Amino acid sequence: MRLAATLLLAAALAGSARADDVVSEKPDTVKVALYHQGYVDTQQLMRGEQSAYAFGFVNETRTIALPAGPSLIRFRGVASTMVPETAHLEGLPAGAAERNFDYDLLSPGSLLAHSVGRVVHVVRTDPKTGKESTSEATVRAASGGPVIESARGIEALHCGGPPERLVFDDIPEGLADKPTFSVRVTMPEAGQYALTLSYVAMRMNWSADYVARIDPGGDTLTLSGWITLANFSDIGFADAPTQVIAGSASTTGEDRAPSARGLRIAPQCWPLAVDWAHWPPFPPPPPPAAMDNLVETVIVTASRIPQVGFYSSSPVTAVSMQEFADYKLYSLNWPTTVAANQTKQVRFLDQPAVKFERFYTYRGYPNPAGDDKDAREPATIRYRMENLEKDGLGKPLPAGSMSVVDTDPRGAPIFVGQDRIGDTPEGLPIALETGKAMDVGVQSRLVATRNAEEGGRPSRINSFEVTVRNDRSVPIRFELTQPGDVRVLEEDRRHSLDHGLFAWRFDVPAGSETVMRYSIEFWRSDY
Amino acid sequence: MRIRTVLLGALALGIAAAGAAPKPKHKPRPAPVAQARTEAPQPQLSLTVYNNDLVMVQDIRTLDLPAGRSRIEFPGVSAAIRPETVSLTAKGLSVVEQNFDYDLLTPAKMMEKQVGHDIQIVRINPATGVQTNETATVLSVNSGVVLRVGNHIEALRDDGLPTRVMFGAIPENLRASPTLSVTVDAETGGPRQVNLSYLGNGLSWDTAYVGLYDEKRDLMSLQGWITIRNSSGTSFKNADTELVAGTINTTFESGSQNYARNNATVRAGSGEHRNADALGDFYTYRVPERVTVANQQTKQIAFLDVQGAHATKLYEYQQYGFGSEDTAQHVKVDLAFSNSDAPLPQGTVRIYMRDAKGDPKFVGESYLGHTPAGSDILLELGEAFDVTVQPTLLSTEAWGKAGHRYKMSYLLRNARGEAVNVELRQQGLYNGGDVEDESLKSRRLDAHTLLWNVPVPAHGETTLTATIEVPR
Repeated sequence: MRLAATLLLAAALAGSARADDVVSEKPDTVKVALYHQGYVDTQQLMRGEQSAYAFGFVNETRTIALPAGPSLIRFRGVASTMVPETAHLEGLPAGAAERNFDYDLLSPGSLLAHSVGRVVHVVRTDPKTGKESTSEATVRAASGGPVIESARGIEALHCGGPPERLVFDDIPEGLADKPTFSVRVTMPEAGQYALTLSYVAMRMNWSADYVARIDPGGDTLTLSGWITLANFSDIGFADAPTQVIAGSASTTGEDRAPSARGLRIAPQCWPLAVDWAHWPPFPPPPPPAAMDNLVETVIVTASRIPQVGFYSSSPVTAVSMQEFADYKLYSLNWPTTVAANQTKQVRFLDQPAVKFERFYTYRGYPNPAGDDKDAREPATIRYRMENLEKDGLGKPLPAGSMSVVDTDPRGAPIFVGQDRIGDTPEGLPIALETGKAMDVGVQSRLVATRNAEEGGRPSRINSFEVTVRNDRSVPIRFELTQPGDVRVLEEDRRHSLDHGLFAWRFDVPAGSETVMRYSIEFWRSDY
Repeated sequence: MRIRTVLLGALALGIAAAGAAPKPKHKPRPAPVAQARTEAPQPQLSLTVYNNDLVMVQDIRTLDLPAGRSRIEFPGVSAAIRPETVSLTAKGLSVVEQNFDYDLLTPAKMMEKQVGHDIQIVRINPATGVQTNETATVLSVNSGVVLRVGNHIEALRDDGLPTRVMFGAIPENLRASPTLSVTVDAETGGPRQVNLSYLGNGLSWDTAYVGLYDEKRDLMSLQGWITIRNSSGTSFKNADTELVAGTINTTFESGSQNYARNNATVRAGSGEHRNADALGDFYTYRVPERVTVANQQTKQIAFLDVQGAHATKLYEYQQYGFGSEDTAQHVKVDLAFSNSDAPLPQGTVRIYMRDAKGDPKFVGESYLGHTPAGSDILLELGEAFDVTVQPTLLSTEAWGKAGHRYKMSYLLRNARGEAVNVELRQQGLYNGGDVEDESLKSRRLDAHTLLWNVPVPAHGETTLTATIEVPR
């Protein structure tokens, strides 16, 4: 009985397409490419905090038999987050003249709203015998719950009467179970046509995640990279060739999938002295909360899950890289299923023996103020690599997070900090700030200050004495910086100008301290 | 070759003078004759859709009206109507009064209107199924319904048992949907054509362009789709549809605002304007056939299909002041092309390119404002992964009377397998600032801006240095 009803509904839905409509139920093949819009954070996704701009790009192929002359092709089974304006259709000898994206969805509310003025059936069940009786009525209003007119008069349903339901003869025109993309074409001749449909679909994202595992010698590290794909739409792509695009594509930030939820009608019944009703009384409940606020179930999967979490060094990469426009295109080497509400990780980089440098930094301020200007502060820990082949790297590195893993005294891996990198082409340096050092302290004392004049404008000359204390059992490399727009007047070491900063670099032996003195001048209007 | 107008046979481009009232776009057709005081019959609709959430609806019907006063109801008008803009005209007809009723028929409202009147209640005994019909008078509807049944007083459904309520009639002024009614005074009776027009919200249009760019051959095909979005709550059936491109001012709040983040640049036009003297303030586009613009629908109509237009990719970097960046900056990738005789109405231009397997893929998009024919257009596609600029301020010195002398160095890196040219712009040459020394010859783009064309070899780098003096 239930099966029959379902089949009938399916037939009715197909029936809402007109006779000359050609319905393509689903694509023959689907490919998906994900773009990078901010960083993937699965915990945030599970809380429903997600970028409204994140998107992917879908290529579908469909083989469709078309009659000669005009017809309307209905593309069912497109991604529900499709942005219809982005559609690009190839394979038609003559272009399409008109296309539509309809998202007036079939729901109990829309069924009722589209039935105003139409004759429907009211079925009531006798509470004693369970016998059903059916009568005809005309729907007079729908927006606050059904108001019907029958031979007996005007009546509001679902306002405290006996069990009663409305039965409709068919589905009103224009209502569909899913948003439907359709194209109106005129074919010169009938035949089988191979079409490709390409479009932007929202609510997908990816970013890279790296693990830099410091080798036992301490001079090199092993860099592994994972592509983290996130699909937070409600559509899945089964066994689809999957790609991600590294780089920053411009968007207007305006692309949205039309909001298709289906009309919901809450009955607005008269007030009751006693709340017997099953529905909340007047006023009606607020509309359903936006999807974005719901906590959703997110599935996390990984390909080649390493045995000890992210410390593994399995050299398998599941991904190959190609150039595409001015971006990098990474293709998964086998089709994969990108399921709805899923975060998936695949290894794309495994690079042993990468040279790196660890040092400690302190960023000086030209014109310190306040009372604690001679307080001892912890130094910042920095890691630096050159993305060069001779240093063991020399690969494009898409933007993402990088975790640094060191070895603790017992030989066990220990996570020592994390930072983010931007898109890093071959040849650029990579700098990570992973935290503050407990055992490296910096005291920067302003020892003399006087006002002066430079180029006819008031300036100030500040002299500093910086003490760097290394309480570690190993010597360290230290870097002190000042902004690049001051003038260095005196220094007891040579500076360099690096990435817009004056930098002094020196070593501090284990368990000792080093003192450095310098003077700078700056215009008082600048600091 | 530049883009030429290829208006698909379907769509004609018209030009409307500023302020000219849209004219009826079709001949009146006979419609079923209807009684006044009742609902008007199915209309002949025409829509004029504007870019900014605005539509002008013209609704032409033939009505048989009696002489003297009568009332006409139009229940099918847009739910997002601006009733203050309604105008109804017909020969020998004057409008007495216009009402727009939006008191909607709900069960609660219907009960409220029954105070002092009789209703029928049907009680159903849950044990026996026996129905009891009674007449009751509604005494009040305040946090519950109080009834007089016979000679006693009770609250409706105080016992929680199923109780049907039957009403005699639907109260006047309560309607299934917001309804416009017009009271008219006719000189003579008889059928005549009535022309109703009004402004409404919930409809807007812009253009969606998809360009497929072939980088190897510097060619682009461009398709333009007029895109109409209807969220007005009303479907417009078989409407003659016209679209107005231009910025129209309205005094009422509009639902959609354009906050596009990334805009295409239209640089100086090439001067090849055709029919320039025929230009009014707006362009209008006519959809050649009547179309149904359904509620909750995005409708697209092809209007431009250009093959083999010349387009060039270029790299660009803008340095606004004199300073350093602590990381290398990716240069922007732009696509430059011209539209020789096709005005491009505003919309988002999306550029796709084929990957190695031939599948089109998204490369970038920009929002293009209304662009007259003969414009040079620069679309921002994105950032180049492999081409970067690292600007460094080497030194700042006092110069002249409180002016500055800046020494800048720009390290341009290229990790691509081919040489590239980067258009590097340095802005901020205020007060007649000038270049004192430079390692490549610059071009003064405007009073405040220098432009260098910097060649960067494949897998290589170029350092550009310049000393710039800026007076106070």
